[in-house]
Amino acid sequence: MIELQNVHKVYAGKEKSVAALTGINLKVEQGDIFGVIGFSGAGKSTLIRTINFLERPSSGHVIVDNKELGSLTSKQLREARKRIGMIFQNFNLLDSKTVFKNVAIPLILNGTDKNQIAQRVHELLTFVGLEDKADSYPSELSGGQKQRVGIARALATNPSVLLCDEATSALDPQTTASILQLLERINRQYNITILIITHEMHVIKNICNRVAVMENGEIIEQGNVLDVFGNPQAMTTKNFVSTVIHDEVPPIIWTVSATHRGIAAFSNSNLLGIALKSHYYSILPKNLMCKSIYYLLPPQRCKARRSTTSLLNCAEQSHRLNKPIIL
Amino acid sequence: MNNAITSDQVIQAIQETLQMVSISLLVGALIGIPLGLLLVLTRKGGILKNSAIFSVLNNIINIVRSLPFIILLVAIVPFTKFIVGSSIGTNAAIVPLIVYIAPYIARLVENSVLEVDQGIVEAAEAMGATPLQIIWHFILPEALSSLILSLTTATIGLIGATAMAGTVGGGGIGDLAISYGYERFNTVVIVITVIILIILVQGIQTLGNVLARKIRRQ
Repeated sequence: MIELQNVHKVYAGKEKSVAALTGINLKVEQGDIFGVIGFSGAGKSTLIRTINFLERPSSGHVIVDNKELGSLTSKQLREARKRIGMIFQNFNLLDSKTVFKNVAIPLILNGTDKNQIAQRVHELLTFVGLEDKADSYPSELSGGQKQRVGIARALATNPSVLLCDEATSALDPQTTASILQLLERINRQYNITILIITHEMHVIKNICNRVAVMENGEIIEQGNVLDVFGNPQAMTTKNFVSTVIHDEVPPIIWTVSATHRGIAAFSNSNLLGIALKSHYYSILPKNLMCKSIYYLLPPQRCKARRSTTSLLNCAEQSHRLNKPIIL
Repeated sequence: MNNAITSDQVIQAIQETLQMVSISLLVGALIGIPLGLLLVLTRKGGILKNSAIFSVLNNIINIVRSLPFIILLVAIVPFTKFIVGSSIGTNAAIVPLIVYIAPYIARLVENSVLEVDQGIVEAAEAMGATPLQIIWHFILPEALSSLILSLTTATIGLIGATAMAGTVGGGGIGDLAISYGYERFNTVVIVITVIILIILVQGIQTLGNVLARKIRRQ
């Protein structure tokens, strides 16, 4: 669906040039929700912008929907871009136009018939849950609502790919979760391939099936989310994993509090964790042999919500579905 | 009204001023707005980046803008003669007024358009919009309220310049103040013309502000 072959991007400066991307190879399959994670300055923004040629790569090939973007004329490129939706961290809505007009714009550019526009915009606004906001202006909306408008606008021309540029980074955790759910629904319902760049680990954890970790303009690890984060190799990857799983706790203080069909719950004074089978981190007692830690959080929150046994059941279920659990 | 000037003269002067301001504003805007847009589009990082066009345009605008209006007025007399066939009168004053205001409007438009969030242009490009569509559907609507304020500033600048048009027999309120007030030591005429100018400028600024606010919404 999306393929980047040995993509380089160099910004020529007066004194020295800066390499933003150095030899990116990436393959996103049809139907993927592909996450690219990295710290600021890793080159994520440049990467996502090469996929719709907002940034022209200095060398290498970008293939989207079987089209090599570099070989297209500017007219063909504009047509190709209509099949690639994009949403932004700052939403980039027109403040001077209503929600309806904002969503209608891609259709107006296409010269679509007025009645058809009205129908399609209504359909899109209903899909994103803003059917009652058609006549509002963006300044009257919350951040989450603005992003929903951005999403509706990006879907207007029925794209096959949706690019999300830090789409949830300006939102609070609860709103982030609802936007991520919406993205997942778009992926399932319309079978739209989604590429997300983010610096937030929980975005990857919550909806991505595949992930690439970026550092200094390079992809240092990529693959299935469970494989990459279940067994992180590079330091950066480990750092990201530790933002959702606190593995720096000294091993000595862990005690196993319960086991159940090969799944163990363990805890110390601060944390409670669920581990599945075979080995994971050094923090675990050696005899536990856990493959993946699926969940860790302070025990008081755990107790308030679920008993250890129900946590274990939940973990087992998630393991069967090969999906990380989200509580 | 007063023994030096008649109310008919005042009304005629106001008419002449309004005529000079409106025609030169209209033509100046027709020239200045596209030039201002062109400055933004062709600058470094613009969607139609072209450093040759940008630097030529930029320099011409700077050169014209360096000339005080009174000097511009006499410097381009041959050009004015070529265009309107005469270098005296209200019509003859309009030519230098346009030459004066068009580059000024271009600069103001450039500033207004640069205020438009670059992200909006990026979103437009990502949607596959053509450069003309980007200008028409994205940049102009987003810059509109700021553009109106810019044109308001330009209009007030023009009123100031028309006063000097009296030197070429352009007429108008400024001319009235100089020939009947200053040169005949008639303070009353000066006071009347100053009051008229203040009301005119206040009125235009208020109109501009109201329009801009209406468009900006919330």
